[in-house]
Amino acid sequence: MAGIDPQPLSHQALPPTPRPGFARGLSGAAVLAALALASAAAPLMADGATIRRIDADPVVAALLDGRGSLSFALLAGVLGGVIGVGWAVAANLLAGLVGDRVERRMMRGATRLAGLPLALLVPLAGGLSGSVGLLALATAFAAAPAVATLAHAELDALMRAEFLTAARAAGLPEHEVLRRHLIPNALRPLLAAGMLALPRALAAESFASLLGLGLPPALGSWGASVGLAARLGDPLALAPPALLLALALWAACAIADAGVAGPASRIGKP
Amino acid sequence: MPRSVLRRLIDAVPTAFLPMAAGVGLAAALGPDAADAALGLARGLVVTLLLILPALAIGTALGALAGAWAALAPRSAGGLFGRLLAGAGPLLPGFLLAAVAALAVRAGASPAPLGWTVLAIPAACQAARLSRPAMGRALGPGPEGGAVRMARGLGLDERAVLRHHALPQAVAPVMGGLRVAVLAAMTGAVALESLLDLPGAGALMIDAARAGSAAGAVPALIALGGLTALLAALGLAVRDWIDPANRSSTPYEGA
Amino acid sequence: MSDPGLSHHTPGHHTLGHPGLAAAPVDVDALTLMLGDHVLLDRATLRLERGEVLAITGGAGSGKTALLGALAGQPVPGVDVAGTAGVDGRRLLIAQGGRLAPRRPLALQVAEVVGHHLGVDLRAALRRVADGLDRMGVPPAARRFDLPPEQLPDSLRWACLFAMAIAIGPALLLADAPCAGLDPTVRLRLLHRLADWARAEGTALILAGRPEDGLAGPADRALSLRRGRLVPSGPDGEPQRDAEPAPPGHPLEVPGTVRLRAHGVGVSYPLAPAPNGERRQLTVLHAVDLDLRNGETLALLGETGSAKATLVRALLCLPPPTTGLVAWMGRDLTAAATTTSGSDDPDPAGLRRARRDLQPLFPDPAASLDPAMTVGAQFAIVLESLRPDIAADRRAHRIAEALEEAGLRAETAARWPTALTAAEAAHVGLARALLSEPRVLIGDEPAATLSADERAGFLDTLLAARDRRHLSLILATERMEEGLRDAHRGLVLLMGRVVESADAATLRTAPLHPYSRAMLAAARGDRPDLAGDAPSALNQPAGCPLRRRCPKARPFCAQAMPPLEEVAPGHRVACHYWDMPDNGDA
Repeated sequence: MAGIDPQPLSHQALPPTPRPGFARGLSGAAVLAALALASAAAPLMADGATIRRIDADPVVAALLDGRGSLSFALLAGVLGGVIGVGWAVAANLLAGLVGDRVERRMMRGATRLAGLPLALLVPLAGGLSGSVGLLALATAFAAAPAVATLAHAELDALMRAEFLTAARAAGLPEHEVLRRHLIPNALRPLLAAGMLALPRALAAESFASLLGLGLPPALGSWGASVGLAARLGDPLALAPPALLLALALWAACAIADAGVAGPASRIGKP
Repeated sequence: MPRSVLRRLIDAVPTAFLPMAAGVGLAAALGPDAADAALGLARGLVVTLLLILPALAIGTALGALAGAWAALAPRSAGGLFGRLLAGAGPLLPGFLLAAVAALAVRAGASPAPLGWTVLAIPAACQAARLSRPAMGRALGPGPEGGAVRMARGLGLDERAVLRHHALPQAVAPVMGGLRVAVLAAMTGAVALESLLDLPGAGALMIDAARAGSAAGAVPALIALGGLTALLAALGLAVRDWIDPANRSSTPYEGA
Repeated sequence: MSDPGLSHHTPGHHTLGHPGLAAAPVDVDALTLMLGDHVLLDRATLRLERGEVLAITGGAGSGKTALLGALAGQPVPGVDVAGTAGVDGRRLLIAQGGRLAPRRPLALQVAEVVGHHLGVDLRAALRRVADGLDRMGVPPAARRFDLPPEQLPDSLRWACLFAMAIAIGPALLLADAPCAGLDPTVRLRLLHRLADWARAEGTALILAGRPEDGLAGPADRALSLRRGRLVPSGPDGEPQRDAEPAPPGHPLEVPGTVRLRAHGVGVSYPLAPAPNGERRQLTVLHAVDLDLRNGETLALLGETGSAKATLVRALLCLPPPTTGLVAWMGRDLTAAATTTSGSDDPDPAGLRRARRDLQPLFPDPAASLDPAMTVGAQFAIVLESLRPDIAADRRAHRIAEALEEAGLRAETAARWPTALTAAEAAHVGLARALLSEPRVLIGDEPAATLSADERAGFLDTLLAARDRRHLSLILATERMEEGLRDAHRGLVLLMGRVVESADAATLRTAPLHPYSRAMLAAARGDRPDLAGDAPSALNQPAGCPLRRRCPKARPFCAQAMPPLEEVAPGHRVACHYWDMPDNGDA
């Protein structure tokens, strides 16, 4: 079929950078790594023996809080990403075994859940139980449906790819198609979808801690410090954790966006 | 407009009004004082709705326009504002702004306008983030710019081209992203109510959770879920109104 | 609007030599277009009279869009314009892609444009556009003005655009790649009607597009834009051919015995059940019979919805057809393919052996390559699967051979698919198909993504490989002339049925089915004798699927689908009235 002429002038008019999101993702990763390193090194900056947050300098205190926030976000984010991706993969597998109907129902459930304010579950879990494990589960569950919908869309597009038909035309049996073509191509989009859970987990935890219903005070959290400072009316104590939290959220979102931005990242592969 | 709003609201009955009614009913059944608890939750829902709805509407509208302007004239004042909003996006979650607002209220600011501003800013950022690249594509050399090139080729003046051919393409993704904006505004509103001691449903839920009372928190949570669905349905209704691609019964006689 | 100083018409200045003539609507003198330091157009001179239809053809990036922009007084950003482009009167440019605001009802857009030019209200504007649609031959039942353009079929959108132009009645109408993407028969019908209107109303009309779009057919004059020059071009839109292609048929040797046989091949898809719980299915391919002889080339001809791609997939058993059977050298492939859909093959050797002999060429070669592997790595997998007799250390050699046979360098094996151009990807696709040394190649528009020159190069390589290896070839295409040029036989497909089958020479000179005739006319740039658009697959008319468009249709056509009957030795036609004259009123 005759297509539309490719825009002859667009080649010269457009800058050669294919993906503006990629550089942002890279800087986001750098910022997040720097934050994690600084938080890990914060006990060295705090003077000596035990860490007493109230006496410490506000910046150092905020960095100390970062350890709790970031490690919890990582834990809950990975958990949420795994649940979400597992959900999508399970839906696709069940579609092959049982039928498309189960798949459609599972994904409709994920879409519905993604439209509910699941983040509100996190302070509820924190207030009603107080255990960190349950809090992590609630956070992961709040992040998972969005991951599942994206991962499912990516898998769906991949299953229809023409190169799978080409592999079948070469006489490869299904398990070989899966091992040699499907899985290598599915890893990157699934990882990108899982990345979505990180900013969501960080935001949900900070939100809950801000209200005093998140991580226990011993662990420390940016959200808790911000909430405390807001209640005490102390702008000097509020600024450092608020800024660090905003920065971490921006970085996590930038990484997630860069992952989702598209398949062009395959170009420069070694 | 009214017909499509009505249709969307009727569609939203099972997902929006039923959970709200169930939440209120549950509060009445579980609470120590039935009538008081139910009335308190119903009042709280109204407060939350009044807090979110204007902020969301104004924030989204301003953000979408500023984002479109940023793609049209990046160096003008409006364009700079739009770029600022679009770039700031995830830096400014509603609950963090709520904490800053709480600080300001303690310093003597008035809570109501501050609260609306706090909720409007994330919505504006999100809208600008979506509308700016869409407007850029609508004006650009790619296939999505075809409608604008065609309108210019057909001799329409620049004002009509921008208003009818470019702007709708910039606003469409904002309308699609309304659901995410509603969710963000909901967490922001809960934080705001709790920190500023506003009598909203979110504050009720957090207070009950803080007291460890599931009987107080769960009905409020269910009702807030219903409220989210209601706001999302209103968003869909607005999208239908703005975007005729979702409407198909406009009679044009004589042709 | 910015006026770069080129749109001033200077009456009398250029017409001094023709004192008796009125000012021509278009008078271009020494027009030069520069994109950076690249010359798109070098001092072109062009004069167009009222009612004259001009076709300007050129490959991608040759500067057609920039030229039309300059003529319309809207220079493309980044293009410098020098010289004069005088246009007398109102001018309209229908931009590439034919897109309107995607989400506004068509009526509003029509009223806006017509009202802007003529100052009339919505009702009057719609009435004028309705007159225009009459001229474009759109039946009143198909007019859906209340819908946004993105919910209308492409052909109707183009017809509405042309009708809008007709309603305004400009002195000069410029159309950039008009009707690109439509089926040839529909495209040529609309363009011929537009050209008729331009001649009748005295509007100067310029159609610009690629050489293979057949724009020269409706035009009075055709120019080709090549290397910055506007030169007269031949009747087929190509700039004066240097040599006729070798007459077809002669170099092709006589085919041998039947190797691939398809009997009653049909494909249907399940649909959502009806409201009353009844199971429904959509049949897209109706019991097609087909034989392919040793060394024979068969062209599958049909437009959108003809199910030629479905037939190709069914022949390759990717997936196997729902009914009928495909046999390769007497072995039933459909049975083998359906039982081996699980992971443990009961008959891996038989099906693999057939897969080695039958290799596909995909319509989008770039998408048929795994982006996560180099070309060489995926070729090695193909060899490992289909040619276990080639030792692992000989594979690289065989891959290099296949790449060179497909006109590529052996180093291509180390490249990543995403770094290939469209043409390279097509050749890589051919190399992969040749890798296992097959006996049959089955291609579904393998060159569809290529430009005219690349396409010719690809087809030459393909045919050279065919002749060297005595391959049988099945090529599906919507371009009738091109498909038949190098084929022995052709099958014309319409809505999943074969409507005519004959040897290539007969189909090229005297096809009998109205659909074949229309396709041939469209391929030659003539006016196809079919009305309207192809019906949707979900809403087919009873009886003959062509009857609502057909010039020979009579009441009986609605009652029965005509069978495929032999009208001459080796020539079969499925039409009740192939030997009758056209209806008078059609």
